[in-house]
Amino acid sequence: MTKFQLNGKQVVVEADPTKPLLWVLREDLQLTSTKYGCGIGQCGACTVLVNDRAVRSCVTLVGQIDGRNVRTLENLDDRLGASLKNSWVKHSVPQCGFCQSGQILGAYSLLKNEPQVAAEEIPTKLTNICRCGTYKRIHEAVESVAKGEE
Amino acid sequence: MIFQTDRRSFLKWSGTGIVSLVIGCRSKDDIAMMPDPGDLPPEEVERIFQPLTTWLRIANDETIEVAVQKAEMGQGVHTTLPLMIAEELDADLSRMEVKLVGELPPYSIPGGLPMTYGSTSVSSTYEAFRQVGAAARSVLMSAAAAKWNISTEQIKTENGKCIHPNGEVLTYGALVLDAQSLDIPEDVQLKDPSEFKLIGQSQPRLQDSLIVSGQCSYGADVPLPGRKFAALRHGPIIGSVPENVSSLSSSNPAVSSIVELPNAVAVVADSFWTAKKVVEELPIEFSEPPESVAYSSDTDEAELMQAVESDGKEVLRVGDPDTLNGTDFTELSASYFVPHLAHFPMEPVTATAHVTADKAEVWLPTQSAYFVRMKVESVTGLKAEQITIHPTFIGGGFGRKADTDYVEAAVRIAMEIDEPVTLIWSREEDTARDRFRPAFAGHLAGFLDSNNNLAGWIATNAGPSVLGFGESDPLSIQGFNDIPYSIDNVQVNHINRETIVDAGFWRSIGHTQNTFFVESFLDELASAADIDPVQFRLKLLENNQRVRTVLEKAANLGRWGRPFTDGASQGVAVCADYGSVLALVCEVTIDEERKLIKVHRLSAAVDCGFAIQPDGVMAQVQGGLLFGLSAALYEEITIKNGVVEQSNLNNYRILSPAETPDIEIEIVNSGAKVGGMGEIAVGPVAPAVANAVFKATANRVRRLPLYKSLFT
Repeated sequence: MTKFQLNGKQVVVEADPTKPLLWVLREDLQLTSTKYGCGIGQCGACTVLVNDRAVRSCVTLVGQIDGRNVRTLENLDDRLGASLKNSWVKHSVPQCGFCQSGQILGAYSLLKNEPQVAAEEIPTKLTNICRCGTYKRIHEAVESVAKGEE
Repeated sequence: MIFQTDRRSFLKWSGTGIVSLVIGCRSKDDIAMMPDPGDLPPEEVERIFQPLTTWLRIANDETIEVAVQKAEMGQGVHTTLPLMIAEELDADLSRMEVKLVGELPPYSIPGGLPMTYGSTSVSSTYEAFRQVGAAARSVLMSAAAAKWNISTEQIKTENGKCIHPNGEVLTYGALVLDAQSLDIPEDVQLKDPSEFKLIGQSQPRLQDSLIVSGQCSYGADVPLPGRKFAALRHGPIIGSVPENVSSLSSSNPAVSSIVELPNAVAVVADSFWTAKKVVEELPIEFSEPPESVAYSSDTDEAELMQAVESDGKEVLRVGDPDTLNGTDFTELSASYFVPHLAHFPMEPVTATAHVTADKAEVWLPTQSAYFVRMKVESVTGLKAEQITIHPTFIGGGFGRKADTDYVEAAVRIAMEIDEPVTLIWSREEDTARDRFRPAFAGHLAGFLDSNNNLAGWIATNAGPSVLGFGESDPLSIQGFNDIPYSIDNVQVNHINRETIVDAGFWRSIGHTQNTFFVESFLDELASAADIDPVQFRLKLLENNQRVRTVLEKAANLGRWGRPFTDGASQGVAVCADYGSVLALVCEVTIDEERKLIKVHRLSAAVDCGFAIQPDGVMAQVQGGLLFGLSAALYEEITIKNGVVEQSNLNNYRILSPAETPDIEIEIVNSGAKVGGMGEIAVGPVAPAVANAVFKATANRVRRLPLYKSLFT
């Protein structure tokens, strides 16, 4: 049994503590914005926030997040979250959109820790893969939030 | 006129008190694209195949719903198709709701295949969708005219409203009841492009608010209570089949069944995580087909390179290529090779199926609901009308989701159990059992006359057919026999060579190899003739002003020929297909010491005739360039004794975000017929970068990927 905060609410899950958080979110809690892409923690499609830091939920066991605070795209409506979402829409970032949940949460984590990250550092600090090739727009959208334009 | 809107608009009531005006179409031609109706009585055929297709629904609560039959996989049809209706209807695009219906009869437009392919979604619907919007506007205006007792000419329309000369306004929703009894005029006038208010201006994408709020539903996101999850495992060797599956069992209480598939074993459980873990650990025995064990990609490569030097089947002859010889001309020849490539969509292939004795339902990301339904028919024995296909958003297609192997597997599993089941191929299965962009070889011999003019060339390529058409596959020679350059004497040959490896449609298909061969070789010829590569091409484009203009614009945009002090160099390439033209200039620096190919800048000019959604054109070019760059620099699938050696990102490298070059794009609206944009940017990247690498290092890379050729 694992207890944690999920999107502002206390949850208790019965799942095997070695089950990755990704599958607990998708299967036990029906939160499907978090995606399975590679399963080995490299592509970032499964990115969620644990205590406001981006983690790859496909390689994070649910037992490891006992007592912690998990957030997914379904609940990213604070000021920074809303700014990022607005910026994403304004820059028409998504193509297929599959990786964008992870991209936005990755950007959230970056800006939470480095609110004024320099534009030239953004590409090296966001490592999630996008096969549609939306990187240029992701970088512009994040830069715009970092500059307080959103 | 591409298809006829039905002469009567009509009214539909829903249980909630909403009244809708429905604009639909009927087209007898659709019949030609349908499977043989067999023994069905004619009235039954009529019932199934001839309902009025609802393309547009305008409700009295001002809701406007558009049916989109093309698959949304990132190319933006979810916005661009409704945009075409909104333009002619004078509706508020941002308030339109989209229903993804899947391209199944009656949701099809005659012409082409019922699938999302070949960069045709916009060009094939441009007239038809505008007609739907114009027809609806016309009846709404008639209704308003009758109400106000004025002529329709006096009425203006704007943002979902009819406007009286005195400023009075009637919303479309308010006119729905009156419009229902009216006929759509025989000849609905479409706007002249000069009257467009939305088309030609970049529009926000309708699906983005869904995507950023996590509400966009992809293949595995179907909310079906009580569904099971399945994972499968193919044998390690291509073509192997499982043996003694009945002896397999699992003690894991979460596992509900083990299903034998023709080429794999699937485990069904309460969780995909469990199913995957169990199927990976099962002691499955697989056959070892000798022809697969005998196959390795390196020997295949050697054989292809040898084969391509033979004659092959002539597919094009221009002038008199027999006069080309090494005595009267300077002859130059070169051979090229491209390896197998995986699609690697971010969403691995997946399908959810529920099959009962008389009914099948499937939810899945697919580029062709039509071929999916045919596959379900053949696997289940059910009839088309017993099968429902629910297309979801596609988490990256690139051609992979035009195939039906994954739906077949899901349906076979669903036939063995009572519950709906979601099958997800693990990333490892998705990669190793992909239908690869096939390995291809090319050999070109060019002949320069004494003035260094290109007198002719003989071009041969060798590889398998992606369509299963043997040596007659037009996609094998796409971008090889239909190049935009005028060359007096040309012979193009193709050698079909099939192997045990499945060949698939990989974004831009033939161009992924042929544009590399052609545009690299042009550069070799330019170099041999000591002529600037852009000038060399322009000369061969004297009869093709459209392509010439695009190349000149790209050269200007990329400041072609400017001096570099930091060792950077430039390369150029052109692609003309899909009714569009793209020219690319890239800037590259080679760091020999650190073994780095740094691509700084990609400058592309593109002409798709008329950019209906310019920001969508930009997005497709940006994305296509990076897709092409990833393959050019890194990607390669290798196979040893029938075993695919790559499975995931730890051994299949793709371009990382930090490697994104500066990208600048100029859209050229030439006014030519509307062309396609989904694929054209992919092919020119590899030759443009390879040409820049040659300029920088004098090292001519004739085999992709570039990193492997340059630094190993």
